[in-house]
Amino acid sequence: MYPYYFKLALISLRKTPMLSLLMVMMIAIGIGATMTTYTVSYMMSKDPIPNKSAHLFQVQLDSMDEIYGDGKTLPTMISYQDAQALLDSDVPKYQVAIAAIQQRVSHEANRHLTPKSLKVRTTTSDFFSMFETPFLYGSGWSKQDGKDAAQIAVLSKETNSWLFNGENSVGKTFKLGADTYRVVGVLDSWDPLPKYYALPHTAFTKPHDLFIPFNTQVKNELFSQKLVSNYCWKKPDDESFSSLLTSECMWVIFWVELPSKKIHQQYQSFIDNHALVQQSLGRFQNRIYNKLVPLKQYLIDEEVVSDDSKMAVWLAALFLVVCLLNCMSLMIAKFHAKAGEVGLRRAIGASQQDIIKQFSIELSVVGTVGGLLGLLFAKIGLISAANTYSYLHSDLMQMNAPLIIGTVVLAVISSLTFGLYPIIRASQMQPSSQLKSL
Amino acid sequence: MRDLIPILKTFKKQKMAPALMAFQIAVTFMVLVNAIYMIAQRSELIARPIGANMESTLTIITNLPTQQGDLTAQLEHDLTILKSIHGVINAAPITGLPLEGWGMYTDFKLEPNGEDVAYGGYFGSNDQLIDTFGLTLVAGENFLPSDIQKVENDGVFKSSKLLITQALAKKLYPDDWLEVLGKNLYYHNEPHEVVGIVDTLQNAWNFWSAIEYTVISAVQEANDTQRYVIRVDPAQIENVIAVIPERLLTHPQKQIESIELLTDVKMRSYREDLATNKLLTAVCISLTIITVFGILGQAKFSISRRTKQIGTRRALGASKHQVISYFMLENAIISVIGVFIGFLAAIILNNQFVELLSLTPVPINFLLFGAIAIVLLGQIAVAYPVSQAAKVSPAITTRGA
Repeated sequence: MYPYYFKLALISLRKTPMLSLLMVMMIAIGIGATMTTYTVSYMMSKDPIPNKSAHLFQVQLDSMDEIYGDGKTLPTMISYQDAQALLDSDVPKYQVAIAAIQQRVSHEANRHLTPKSLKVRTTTSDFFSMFETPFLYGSGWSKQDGKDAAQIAVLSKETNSWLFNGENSVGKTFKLGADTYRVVGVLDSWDPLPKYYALPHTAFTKPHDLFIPFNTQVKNELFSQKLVSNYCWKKPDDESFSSLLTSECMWVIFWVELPSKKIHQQYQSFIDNHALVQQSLGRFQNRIYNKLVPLKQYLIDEEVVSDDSKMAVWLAALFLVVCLLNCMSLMIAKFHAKAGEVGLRRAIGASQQDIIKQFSIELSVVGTVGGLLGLLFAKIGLISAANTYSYLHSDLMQMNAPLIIGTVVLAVISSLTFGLYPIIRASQMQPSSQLKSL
Repeated sequence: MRDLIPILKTFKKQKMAPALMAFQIAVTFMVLVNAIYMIAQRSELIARPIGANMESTLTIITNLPTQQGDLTAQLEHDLTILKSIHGVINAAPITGLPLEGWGMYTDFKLEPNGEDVAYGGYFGSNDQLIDTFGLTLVAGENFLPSDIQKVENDGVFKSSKLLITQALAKKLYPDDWLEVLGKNLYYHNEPHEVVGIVDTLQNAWNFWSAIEYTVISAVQEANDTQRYVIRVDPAQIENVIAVIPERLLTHPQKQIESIELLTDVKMRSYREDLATNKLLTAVCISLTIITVFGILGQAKFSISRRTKQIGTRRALGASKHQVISYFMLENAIISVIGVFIGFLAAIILNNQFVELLSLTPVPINFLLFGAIAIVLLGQIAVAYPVSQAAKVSPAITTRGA
C-alpha cells in the first residue's frame, strides 16, 4: 500500500506545482534559519572533553580580606604563592597552573625568517596529559624539567610549520625573547571548543602558539598584563617582579583532575587546610571559602554561551513556527481543493485511516524535501554567519552528523504535526457531499 | 461597517483559516517588536560618544624592551619621534585605550578608610592627553607639566593629581558635582586630588555599567607594552600611518603591535553587537516577507473559494468598492485579533523572556507603534488579491450549477 501512496503523493504534488513548491520553501526557510542559529549555539555549548569533564575542576580560593562581588562568586584566578603551595599536593591525579606571556620568537640561524611576537602559554608538566593534547613529535616536559625551570618548549603544529617547516624539530633550538629554548614536543592539530581552560572571553579562539614551563616564566621574570587577568585587591610592596610573586595579586588559573568522590573530598580538605594555615599567618582574613568548580558549571558561570546566541535560537524557532503556520494554511487550501478526490476514494471503499495514511505520506514527502532544502539553506546561513561573526572560531559554523540527521527529522516531524489538523479534517469529509456535485 | 456582522458570521463557519492567520500575525508581531527594540537599544549603546575625537585619533601599541635600558627614556624618545612626524598635532602616552576591552579599574573612596562610593576605569597619562584626545574641560584645570610623575609599571598605586569625567563627578556628588574639585579621591589607600573635570571619556569595557566613570591620573607610566595616542591632521592620516613604522622601529627589538584609528578600536569593541544587529535585521526582513506572502496567499485562497458569492453580491447590486472594503475589513479584523493575542502573549511571556535572555521589557508605546505597523502591513498585503476580487464579473452567477 505504501509505495502506492507514495506514487499518489508524487502525482498530487506535480498537479499543483506552485503550491507544493511554496510549502517546501516555507519549511526549508524555517528549518534553515532554525538550524543555522541552533548549530552555532550547540557547538558553543557542547562538552569540550566529554570523557573527563566530570572530573575536571577549577580551584577558586577566597584569599582576600574583603568580600568580592556579591559574596558568592570568587575570582577565577589564584595568587602565585597559593598556586605554588597547591602544586606541592599529591592528591589530584593531575594539576595544572596556567598563565600566558607574549614574546618575540625567532629562528636561531635562519635570518630570512622575520621574528614574530607570539602568545606563549606558560603551564606545568601535567597540562598535556590532563587536557589530552595530541602530539605529532616528542612529548611534554617532565615534572623535574618543569620544576627546574628548564628552557624548553612544546610548539603548536602551526608554529612548527612556520619555524621549522613542519619537520620533526624535537631537540632543535630557537630564540624566545633573548633566550634560547629547546623543543621537546610538537602538538598535532589541537583545537578544543570551547577553549575551556583559559580566560572565558578567549573561549572561541585558537590555543596559544607555544607552551613553556610555568617556572621558566617566573625565573625569567616575564609577564604580559594583557594575556592574563590580574586582580590586585591589595597593592604589591613595589613594582618589581619579585613583589608581584609575593603579593596578593591573583593571576594564575588552576585546574585539577579528581577522578573519584573520595579524592575530591581529600582535595577539598587539602585546600581548606591550606587556607587555615594561611589564615594563621595573617592571610585569608575574610573566611574559609574555597571552591572546586566543575568544568561544566564553570562554563555556565562564565556565560561562555552568549545570551545573543541563545536569543537567536529562540527567534529562529518562532520564525519556524510562522513558516509552519503559513504552511498549514497552504495545506488547508490544498486539501480543500482535493475534496472531490477524497469523496470519490471514500465512496469506493477507502476508510478514514487510508485517507490519513495517504495524506501523511504526501506531507512526509513535502517535509523531507523541505528538510533537505533546509539543510542547504542552513549551510548557506552558516557560511554567512561565519562571515558576520568572523572573530569566532570557524568550527562553530560546522554541522555534524547528528545535527544533519536532526534537521531532516525535525522538518518531517514539524510538517506532520502542523499537518495533522488539515489531514484529519480532509479525512472526515462526507463522501455524499462531494459526489452530488460530480 | 455593516459588513462587520457577516464577516464575524463567516469566521464562525470557517474558523481554522482565519485563526491560523491571526496566530501567525501574533507571532510575527511578537518577534518583530522584540527584535526591532533590541536593534534600537544596541544602536543606542553603540552611538554613545567615546569622548575623544575618533576620526583624528590614532592609537599605537608598541613595546619598550628592557634590554634597551631605561623605559621612561625610551618612552620620551618615542614621543619625540611621533611628534616630529609631519601631520601629527600632538601625542600622549596612556595606560590603556578607551573600549580596548582590556584595562585597569579601581574602587573609589572619599575618606581614607571609608566606604567605596563608586568604581570606574583608570587611565594614567600626562598633561598632553586632553589636547590629544580633544576632550573638553568643563571645570577646573588641566595638569601642569610639574604635576606629572614618571614611573615604570603600576602607576595606579601612586598618589597623584587627577582628572575625572563629569559622569563620575555627578555620581560622587549628586547634589553639586562641582564640589568634587579640590577634594581627594582615595584608591589603593592613596589620596588623589581632583583638579579638573572633563565632559566624557569612556573607559575600557563597552558592556560595563561604569563605562563613563573614568579617571585620568597624572602618572605617566612606561610599560614593556606601551600605548600611545596621537592626534593627526585628518587629511594626513594615511601618510602618518605609513610613516610611523619607518620612524619608530629604530632597533631590531622594537615592534609595533598595532596602529589603529580610534574609530576602528570602537568598531572592534562592538563587533558582537554589530553582528547581532545584522542577524536581527535579517530575521525581521525575512519574517516580514514571509508573513506578507502568507497574508497574500491566504487572501487569494479565501477569495477564490468565494468567487461565486462575490459574483452573486455584485449581481445583487454591490459596487466594486463594497467588495473591496469587505475583504479589507476582514483582513483588518484578523490582524487586530492577531496583534491582540500577540500583545497579551508579549505581556504574559515578557517576564519569562526577560529573565531567560536578560532582555529589557519592550515599552508600551513601542508595542502600540508595532501594532499599527502590522495592521497596515496586512492591509498592503491584501491590496492586490482584493483588487482582483473586485474584477469578478456578476455574470459568473449565471454560469454552472
